[in-house]
Formats: sequence, C-alpha cells, structure tokens
Amino acid sequence: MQKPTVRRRAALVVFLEFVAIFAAGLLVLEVCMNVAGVADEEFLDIEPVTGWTHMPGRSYTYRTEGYAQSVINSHGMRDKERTLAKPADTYRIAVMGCSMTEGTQVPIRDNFCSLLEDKLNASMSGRKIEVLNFGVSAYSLGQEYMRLKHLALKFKPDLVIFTARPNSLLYMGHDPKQGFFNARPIFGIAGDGSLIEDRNFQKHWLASSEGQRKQATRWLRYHSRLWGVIGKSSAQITLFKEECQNKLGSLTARRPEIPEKPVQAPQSAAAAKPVDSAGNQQSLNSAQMYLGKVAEALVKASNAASKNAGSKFILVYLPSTLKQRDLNEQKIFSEIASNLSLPFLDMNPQFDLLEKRDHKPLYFRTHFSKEGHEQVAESLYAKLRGCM
Amino acid sequence: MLFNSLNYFLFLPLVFVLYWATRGTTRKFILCLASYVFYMSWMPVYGILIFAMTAFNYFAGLFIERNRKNDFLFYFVICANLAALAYYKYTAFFIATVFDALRQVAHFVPSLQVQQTPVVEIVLPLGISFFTFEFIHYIVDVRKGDRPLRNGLDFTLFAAFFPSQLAGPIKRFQQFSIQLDEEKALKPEDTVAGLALISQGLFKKIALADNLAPITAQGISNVHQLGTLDAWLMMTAFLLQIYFDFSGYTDIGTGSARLLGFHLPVNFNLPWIASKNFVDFWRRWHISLSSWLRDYVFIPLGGSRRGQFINYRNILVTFGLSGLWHGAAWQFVIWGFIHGFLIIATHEQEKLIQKVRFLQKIHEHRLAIPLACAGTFVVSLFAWTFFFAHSASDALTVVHSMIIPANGESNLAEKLLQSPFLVSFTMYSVYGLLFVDVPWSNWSDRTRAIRAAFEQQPARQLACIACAFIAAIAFSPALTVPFIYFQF
Repeated sequence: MQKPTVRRRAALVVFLEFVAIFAAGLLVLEVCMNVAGVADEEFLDIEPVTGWTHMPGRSYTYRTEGYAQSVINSHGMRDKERTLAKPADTYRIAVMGCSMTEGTQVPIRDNFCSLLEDKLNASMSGRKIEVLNFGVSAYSLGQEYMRLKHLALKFKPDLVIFTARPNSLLYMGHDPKQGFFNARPIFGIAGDGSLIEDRNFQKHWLASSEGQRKQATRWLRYHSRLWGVIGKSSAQITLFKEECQNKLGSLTARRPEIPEKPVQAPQSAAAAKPVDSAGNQQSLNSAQMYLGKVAEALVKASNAASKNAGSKFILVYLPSTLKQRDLNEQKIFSEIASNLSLPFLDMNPQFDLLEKRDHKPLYFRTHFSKEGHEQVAESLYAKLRGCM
Repeated sequence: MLFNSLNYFLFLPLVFVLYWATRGTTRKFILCLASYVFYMSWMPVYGILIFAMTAFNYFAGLFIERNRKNDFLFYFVICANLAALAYYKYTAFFIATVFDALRQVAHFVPSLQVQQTPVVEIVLPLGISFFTFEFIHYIVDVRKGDRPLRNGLDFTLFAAFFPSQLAGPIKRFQQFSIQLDEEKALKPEDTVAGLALISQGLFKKIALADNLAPITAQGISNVHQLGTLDAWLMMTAFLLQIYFDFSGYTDIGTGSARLLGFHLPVNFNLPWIASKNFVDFWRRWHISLSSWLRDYVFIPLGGSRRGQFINYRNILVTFGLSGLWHGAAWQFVIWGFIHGFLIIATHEQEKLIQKVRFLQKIHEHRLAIPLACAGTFVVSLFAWTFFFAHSASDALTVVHSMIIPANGESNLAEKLLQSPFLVSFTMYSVYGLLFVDVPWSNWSDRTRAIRAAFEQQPARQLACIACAFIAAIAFSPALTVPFIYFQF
C-alpha cells in the first residue's frame, strides 16, 4: 500500500500534467484559430453613449452570411482609415445606419458606401468625395441619432444619409430576452411631443450579471479567440434554452385572449412592444403608431443636429426581402419625410422589380449580397447627383 | 435527436449517470427507454413502427426456432421486413418508374393516356434501412441454427440501441447479446476511449464535413457551370465530406456505446488513403454493410465458389442492390453497378499480375502500394459522381467537366480558401500522423514514443480530448448540416 502523501503527490503530478497539456493545447488552438480566422465574430463593444460600438482596430472574419475579412478603423467604424479633420476640397457624406449599412457580410470595398464613393469620385471632377460608413449592427434609430450627434458630426460631413432599416420600429423598444441589445438607450416622446431619452433599461442591464460579465471580459473579447468560442457556445445554449422554453410554453400556456378593443397607445417606447408576451398581435398598430411618432421625433432631431453643423440631410428607407417587409412601416417613413419636408428615398420598389424581373440575388438571408450593395450604391448615386 | 446537437450532449450524460447508477434489468430498461426517447424525439409516431417491427421479429424468431424447416414462415417474415422497407423507401420511386415507363409506351400507343405522376409523400423513418437489415440478419441466423433472444427486453434493446439506431454500424445479435449479458463495471479506459471517439467524431462532423458542405452544395447546384478544376475540387470535397460525415457519425455512436460499456463493430478503416483497390476499399468503407451484403446476399446467391460467371453475376447483383439500398433512384443503382464492375476488374487485374512477370515486378515496388491507393482514390472521384449528383445526367455532366478541360464560373477554389476547412484539415492530419497507423507507411514507428506517452496516462488523453471538443466548436460553421447517411 502506498502512503497517503505519496498518493497525493502522484495525483498532483497527474493533475499538473493535465493542466500543462490542456494549456499547451489551448495555445496551439489559439494560433490555429488565428490562422483560420474563426471564433472572432465578436466585434462590438459596450459604449455608454450609444450602447455599443465597433471595437477600434479589431480585425475579424465573418461567415454567418456571406464572407468578409474586415478591420475596424481607429474611430470604431467599419470603414477604411479616415482623418477626423476634413481634408481640403473634400465633400464628405456620413451614412448612418445599422447592419444593412455596416455590411459586414461583404468586404469593405464592396460595401455600398465604398462603391458610392468610387462612383461619385469617378463622375465628379475637381472635388474629392468621401463616403463615411457609420453603420453598426443592430442599431436602432435612436442609436443612429446618438452616433450622429456624438461621432459623425465631428467629421464635419456636408451631407448626412440617415437610413432606416426594415423593421426599424421593432428595434426601438425594450425586450428583456435580447441580452446585449438592452445596452441600447430607449427613446420615447413626452406629452408635448419632445424627445425623451430613457437610460433606465441600459443602467439596469449594465448592472446585471450579463452586463457585468461583458464589461469584465472586455480584454478577452478583444484579444482571445478562445473566448470567442465561449461566446459562440453560450449563444447556442441561449438559443437552445429559448427553444426549450418555447416548447414547454406551448405545452403549458393557455391560448391568449384577444381583447375586443384596440390597446391604448403606450406612453413609453419601452412599453411599446408590437407583440406582447402572450404573442398578442392586436396592439401592433397602436404600438407602431406610437413608435412612428418616436421615429419622427428622432429623424427631426437628427435633421436639426445636422443642419446646426451645416450638413444637408436625406432620409433613406432601405429595402428588405419580402419576408421581412412591413408595409405599414414603409408608409410611416414616407409620411415622416413628407411631414418634415425631407428628401426621401424608398428603395423597396426598385429592389422588388430587380428581384422579380432580373432574378438578381440581392440578399443573402437578410443582408445585402455584393449585388445588393451595388444596387443600393446605384440608387443612392442617382438620388445624390441631384442633391449635391 | 442529432448526435451533433446540444440536446444529445445533455441526453448522453444523463443516460450515462442513470445507466451506471443502476444494475441488471433496471439498467437495460433505462437504456431501452432512452433509446425510444432518442428515436421518438424526431417523430413520435415512428416509435410505434419500430416497436411493432421489433415485436413482430421477436415472435417470428421464436416461431422459426421451432419450425426451422418451414420455408413459408421464413420467407414470409423476410418479405414482411422487406415490405416495410420497400413501402417507406421505394413507393415513390416505384410509382415514378412505372409512370415513366408508361409514358415511354404511350409514344408508341397513342390511345394510351398517361396522367401526371402522383405525388407520394411518405416520410422515411430514420434508420429503417439499418434496423431492417438487423432484423433480417437475426431471422436468417436463427433459421440457420442460432438461438434466438428469449428475453424481450434484450431483443428490444438490440433493435433500438440508440448509439447505432439511425445509421449503424449494423450490429450482429450474437455479439450484442453477449455484451448485454455481461455484468459491466464502469472502467476508466472505456470512458476515456468513448470520450476520445466522441470528440474525434464531433470534430470530423462539424469542423471538417460541415465546412465542406457549402462547397459541394454550391458545386452540385451549378453542375453546368463547373470548370475542370471546379469539378475535380468538388468531387474531392465530396469524397472527404461523406467520409468525415459518416465516419464522424459512427465515431460518436461507437464512442457513446463505449461509454456504456458496449463495443460496436468497426465501420471504417482509412478507406480513402489505404485502399489498394476496390476489393480492399469495400473492406474498409462501411464495413458493417459490406459484410452484411456478403453474408446475406452474395453468399446465399452462390458466392464465389460456383464458377467465374456465377461469381461475377453475384458481385453485380450484390452491388446493384447495395446501390438501390443507398437511394431510391437510378443513379444509385448505376453507382452500385460501377462498383461491381470495378471489383470484377480488380479480380481480373490480380489474375493478370500473377501471370505476367513484368507486372509482378512493378507490383512489388515499394511505391506500388501508395500509387495504387492514389489510383483507387482518383477512380473513386469518377465513380462517386453518380452517388453525389441529383440525376444520372448531372453525374455525366460532372464527369464530362472532369475530363474535358474548361473554365467554369463556380469559383469553388475561392470558397474553399474562405472556409476554415484547410486549417482544421491540417490539424486533423497532424493528429493522424501522430496517432494513426497507415498500412503502407512506416511513419508510425517514429511516433510510437509519443503515442505510448499518451496511452500510459488517461489524464494526458483527457486534456487532448477537451482541446478537441473546443476545436470542434471553434471550427464549426454557423449552420448545422444534417448527417448525409440519414437519408438512407
């Protein structure tokens, strides 16, 4: 029989061997993942003003839809490196938007902002044109407004293109299920029609365990691909949990009762969820009407901020696949432009035509393909030639 | 429930704990229940089908034992099993073939009015091809004189055992029942070996096969735009994909069985790098199916001892049926026949080598085996087009693109470079060089010391297994791809 101390020492040696080999394996894996460009899709960082922004200097490979290797510039934009000071004799266009504008599914050179810049530079002699891409994944109109005010206008743009993505209104509310997305500020309107900035949900989320964890692991998220694997796994686990909850919910939940009268328009965007927890669709129109008013206030504020900085302003409603299309929302944005007398471009009719007539693959699943970006650039170019 | 799903990785530890926490009949009952939960999580109603077929074959086995000379009973049971398989797998194919034939006849008989082929929507029960073959093997062996399983729970478990239920390996009841009767104890070496197989299988499936899937899918959906390079690339990708997919599935199944103390038959033995010819290939690829076809089709037809003509006829029939088993479409039958002819060609080649001294000398050269393996792989690239393509004409288009030099528009090479496959494949190759014996290479002699160092200490193996799990997740694509062999 071995003495207990000898056994303990042997166990310790075995344990240390395990740790050493595991650590060496992880190191090799980190290198291999780096070479292959995997597990680095986490490129967003928490930021107090807008909720989140790109990680400056981060390089990543995106494969979920399409394929692109990208490097975020030093200002936290998915764009080539730009100087804050506007070069002499340069006309600057700032494009505000969400993932549709960010275009992480295609290389930066194939993004509609880059293509538009090339087209304008090729056609306009004498003046240099810069088209700056301020699009960030999952941004709401409120976040676009904050990014415009706190970052884009510092670049002294001559023109601001304020894009609204399909289902923009859905992104303006608060949804406790959405985790990281609760870092976004929520906007509403007061009784006198003025814009209210609500940071309560953001503060609450930042103080939550998930929020704390995101902040504490900032360095790892920036630098470690192994951490990316953990992020990837936890996203899968979250999806799985939701799937289980939905399955269990559908087994146990009672069929929701549909109210006879339409629900009153909610007073805060935070409460204005187009679909309530019971899946009740009856409140959709009233919620949309309210969120439409908030959207109008945000566009108005963005236009005012741009005007104050000496920039022109255009509202663009980006196209979407028919599956995602919301005709009410399309109408709301057209009315906003008309109420505020803004130049407006709705790209949906043109995209529909191209898809039906030419069978062009303009989208991957949700976002623009290379052909889609080319078409957006083409439409914007046609519109801008008259405005500039 | 898929082996590469999160559900399975919650299900398996739960079964593992419950299994080892119990003994005797309770343990078997838990395993049986788990197997039915596993199967019915996909489509509950088909649980009744597998149970009904199990009950039928259980009682049939007992009857046949008492009436071994009753041919009618025996053939009735075999036909009943085949009828179930035919109904679910071949009804649509049969109806389409009949209507196609009638349409051909209508060209010559103008008065014959042929309606549109009716749409038959029968969902193929997962694994039916596999468990039907296990039932047939059981019935045939009982008739030959083996003792049937008297314990109904044992037989139910043989039919439903979840690690091999959906895509094999096709088990033999004699070996399985011995393992069922053993009083098992949880052994660390079984657990480590099981985990190693599972991590290896998961890596093969999600880090290798699934990263090739978009390349092959893009290629096959644009067969008419394929250039020569694209066609070769697509077929190479497909052969690797199907191997990693199916052997990955088998590894996870075999590893899961090993965690529960069971040893399942080996199904793959380096088919793409160690097959010297097509006879050798079918001893290394889907071994449990090949041996089943040998024992229950080829030998009953007369085998190889009744003259060359009968032997070759039997080879062609066996491989034709093998093709039809793989898929209810003519291109699979053609694929089967091509393999039959390649086997015959191999036999003829061997005879020729024995006769011609010069060929014997070439055959004995040290490079002969690696070159023969490479040759087998290249011929496979052509033969498997019929397995991969949606139709025989698509397969011929691919073959044409492979032979006649042309430029294409598919850019599969670019897609391959964008995928993380090349890095994951390099990682797998390094692992292979260190831990796998390749018959024609003496490289493994040099790595023996490394292998021994890992084999001595399970903790070292566990550390590597943990890294393999992480690597599999890291290199997996965003979209899950179903196992290819599920459709069979």
